[in-house]
Amino acid sequence: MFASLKNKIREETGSDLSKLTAKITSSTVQKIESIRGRSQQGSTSSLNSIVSSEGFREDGPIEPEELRKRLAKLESDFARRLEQKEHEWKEIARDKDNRLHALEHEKDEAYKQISNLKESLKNAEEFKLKILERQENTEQLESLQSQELLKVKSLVLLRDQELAEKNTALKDAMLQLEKLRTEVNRLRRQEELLSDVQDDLESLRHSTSRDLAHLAAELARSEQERKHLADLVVILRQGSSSGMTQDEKVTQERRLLEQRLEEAHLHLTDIKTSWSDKIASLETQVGRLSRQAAEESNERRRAIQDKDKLLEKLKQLEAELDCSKFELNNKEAKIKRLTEDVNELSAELKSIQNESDEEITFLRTELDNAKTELKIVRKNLDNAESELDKTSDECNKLKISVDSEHQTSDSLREMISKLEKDLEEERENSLNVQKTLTRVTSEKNSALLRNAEVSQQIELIKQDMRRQEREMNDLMNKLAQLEDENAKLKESVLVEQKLRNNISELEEQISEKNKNIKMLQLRLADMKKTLQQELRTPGNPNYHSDLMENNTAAILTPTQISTRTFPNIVRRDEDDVNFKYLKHVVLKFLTSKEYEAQHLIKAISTLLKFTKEEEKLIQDTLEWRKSWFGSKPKYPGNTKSKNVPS
Amino acid sequence: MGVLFSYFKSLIGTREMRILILGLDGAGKTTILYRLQVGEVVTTIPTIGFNVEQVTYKNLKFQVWDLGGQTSIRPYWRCYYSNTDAIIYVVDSADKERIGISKDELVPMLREEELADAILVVLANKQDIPGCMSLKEVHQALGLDALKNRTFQIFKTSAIKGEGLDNAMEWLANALKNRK
Repeated sequence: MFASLKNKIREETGSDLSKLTAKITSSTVQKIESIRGRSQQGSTSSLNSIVSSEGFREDGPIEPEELRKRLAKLESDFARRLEQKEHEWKEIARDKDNRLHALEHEKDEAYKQISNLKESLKNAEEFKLKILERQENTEQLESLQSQELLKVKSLVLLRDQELAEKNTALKDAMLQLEKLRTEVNRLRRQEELLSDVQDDLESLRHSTSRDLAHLAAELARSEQERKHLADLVVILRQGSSSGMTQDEKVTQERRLLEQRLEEAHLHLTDIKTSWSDKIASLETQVGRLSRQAAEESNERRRAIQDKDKLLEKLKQLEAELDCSKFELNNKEAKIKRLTEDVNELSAELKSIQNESDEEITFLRTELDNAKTELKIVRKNLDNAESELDKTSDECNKLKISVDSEHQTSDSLREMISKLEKDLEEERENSLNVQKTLTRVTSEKNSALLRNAEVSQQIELIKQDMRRQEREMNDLMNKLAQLEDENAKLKESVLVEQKLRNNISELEEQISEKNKNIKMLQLRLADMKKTLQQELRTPGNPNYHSDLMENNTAAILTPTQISTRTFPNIVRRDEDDVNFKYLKHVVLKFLTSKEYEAQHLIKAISTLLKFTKEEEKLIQDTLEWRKSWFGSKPKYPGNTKSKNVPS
Repeated sequence: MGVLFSYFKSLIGTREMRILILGLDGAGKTTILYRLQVGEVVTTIPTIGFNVEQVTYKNLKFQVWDLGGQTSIRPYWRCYYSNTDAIIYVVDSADKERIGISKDELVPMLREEELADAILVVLANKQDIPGCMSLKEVHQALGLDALKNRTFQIFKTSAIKGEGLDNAMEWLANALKNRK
């Protein structure tokens, strides 16, 4: 639109307006960009100053003298501010130097402290070494003592073993003794048996001798009887020799007596055999007994010998026992002595250990003290170091800030010089602008005149059109009449043809005129639009209201038009981006899932400047939609409002 | 209702990680987003608005928001800060003139309370362009030395060539897992 206006103006005036406006806009844009780029942080104040200077400049073209004055004032202002700042910064730098000195002094002190602490650390370490030596000594002593103790113990053990051996030997001997004693007892009993047997033998001998005597006596008696009988026989034979009858009697008697004798002899032999048998058995018994006695006496003799031997052995063993007892006593005494020694040594050891323990504890306490001291010292050291670091950091920061301040002062100086240059340029620009302004105003006026002319033309054309329409109506009437006539006459075909031609011609003319009118109307509308856009003045933030007012009053003073051209373009671009952004966000909000939409509420609220209630309402509505329960939230302001999004 | 809702939510699974990709206009945010999502370089136009995509990396679901970085719409970034788990801040390593502006956008952003727990990943992008700033230079220019109480890491990337993005995402995934 703007381009079309420019073209039109070019058509009308032949001059190029775009160059002029482009020059103005480009220079200002460049300036703004350069300022923005140069300092983002500190730009607010400078921007304000620029804006205010621009504000001055708006009035500037009318009174360049004033502008110049203001410029001078500004310059002096800037210079004064710069000096002030420099002064401030110098003071700050001085302060910081002083602080730096102080911190360095502190640092030196800290170093001194550190060296002191290091010396104490060394002392503590020496102490530590001493303690270690002590501990080593005590350990050596302990090991020696333990070795000695071990030796003594081994000796004692050896003695004990020997003693045990002797005891076992003694026990063996005692056992043997006991055995021998039991044997002796057994032999004694056998002795008694032997004597019993000898007694028996004696009694048997007695009985056999008595029997013998008895037998001898009986034998003698039987001999006497036989002698008696033999006497009798002799008597009887003497009697028989005197008479035969008597002889026969005597022979008979003799026979009887001989029979008796023979009987007596038989009896006697019987007795003699029985007696000899008895004697033989007795003799065998005696022989057996005497053999037994001899054996027993032999045994007895042997037992006595054994006993003697055993007694001798016993004596020997007792002597040995005494010996071993003596030895044992000796050894016990020795053991006692050794244990005493050991006790003494252990006591000594204990005392030494106690001493060393005491020493160690003392040294440990000393060490602990030293360690605590060391810790304190280290803490101090750390503190000092941290302080040092801090101070050095501060120093660095201060240096950096001083540097940065120097830099900023430099940049400010550069800015001032640039601003001065800009000012010069602006002055030139303003002169140019003034010149072009006058030209543009004249052009404007001519354009406006032209506009008026065009509108007049339009009016004329409209009138023409109306007249032609009327004519057309007339013609149509005529045509109707003619048609009537035609119908009536039907002969005047030629005339009708002519008339029809005429009508078509006239219709063409009308359409052409209509086209012309439309063209002219379009152009007029274009021109109006471009004029309105040109006349838009967004110098102040509420330029929209200005626009509304300016819609009716299309003509403004030329100065206003020229000065308000540039910001309008920038604003429209930004508006465009903002509008696109809003459109995009709203579109996304309406099409996205609930979870995403929730994250967009804030953005939409910010873009559309919703109140908190409205934002909350959207949030609640979304929650309501996500869940399956609950009631639809309502706008708190008016409950039956249709503002609630559904 | 809320209890029931959270119960259903726990049935569905863990919450997706919300990640913002921020940076000046033309730093390559949209290219990085689609490189992460589809693994290809797509032709992009300047984003007036935002793009949001689901990206799955190592069983972690990310909801990645790529916000337009033009000067006039940068102020709207703050509307998206709430519930953000991580920020991927993209820097054009070849744009030495505007690195200062990039820093001036980053520093106040990190002071926002809503982003106090967010993990920061800085991507020094466009490393394929000759004469671009090194990782160290970007680190220094953004003043990352002064960062305290912030889990952050800087990576050099080339979204066009697809270099460095895997490293950055792996680190981010680990950092997000460890944070829990």
